Amino acid sequence: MKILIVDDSRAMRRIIQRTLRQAGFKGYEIVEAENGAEALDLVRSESPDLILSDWHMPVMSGLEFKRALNEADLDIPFGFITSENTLEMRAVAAEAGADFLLAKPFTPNDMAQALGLFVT
Amino acid sequence: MLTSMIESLARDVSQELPADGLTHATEAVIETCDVQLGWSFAPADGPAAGPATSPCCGSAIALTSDDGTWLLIALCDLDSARRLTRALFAMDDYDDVMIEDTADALNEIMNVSAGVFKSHRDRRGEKLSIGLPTYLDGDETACRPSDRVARSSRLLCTDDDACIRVIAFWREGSDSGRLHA
Repeated sequence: MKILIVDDSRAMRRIIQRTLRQAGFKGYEIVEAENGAEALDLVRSESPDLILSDWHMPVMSGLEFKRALNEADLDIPFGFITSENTLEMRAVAAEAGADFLLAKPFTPNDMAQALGLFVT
Repeated sequence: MLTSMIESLARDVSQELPADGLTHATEAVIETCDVQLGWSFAPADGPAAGPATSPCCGSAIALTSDDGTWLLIALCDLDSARRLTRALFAMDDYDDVMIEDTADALNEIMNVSAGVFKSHRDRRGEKLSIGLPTYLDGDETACRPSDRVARSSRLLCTDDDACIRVIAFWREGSDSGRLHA
């Protein structure tokens, strides 16, 4: 199984990988991108099974990235991991077809609950 | 340099913070460090964060609305910053903590804290946009603020003496672009 992590912060990509391990998700291949445009290329070349994306990023935001996936009929399990935790933002994420939104800060247990349906 | 920048900002901002601003900033940092690091920070007394001889570093992030700009700053001594970095990235004791790691860690803590702060303020109807965090590197005096800065800040410490000073500045009005670190 391959997980694509999309975040412009190198630190947050490290934190997400650490939390995945702490949540018991081990042995998965991780692919990283710094923005939505880079991630879109990686989706085509790497065929990830799950995408974890930040919301605010330069070049192409997470929301624009998700909408680009929708337009290309690329139906891959998709979750936002973001500081945006207002009801308004959650509604926008759901409307765009995101499977979940994991708000920062998050614990390994939060991660396990959010990803449980998608990672076997 | 860092000390004079913070003192200058303190002279330039509104002396009265909007209701609960400093409380929300403090709670945001406490919640972020608790959830992301498992560290329990609590308000502490005293002017200092860390030993007097330790260099001070930190991170600042601005949040803007139509009404004005918040600038949240976290300052800590280098030893606390390195310990926080090791915990955040699950680094081993024998791993060297580079300055880039510390900058990444403090900036990420402030980025996440800003999101929590934004959620607090959103519940009061305040719509904020989060800017990008900036790493602050200074000398040992920056962690010992003047009375003016101290009034806009809270010192937080863990049981094993890792400390962070959280500062919240507010500048009212649309012309608040100068309120950035």
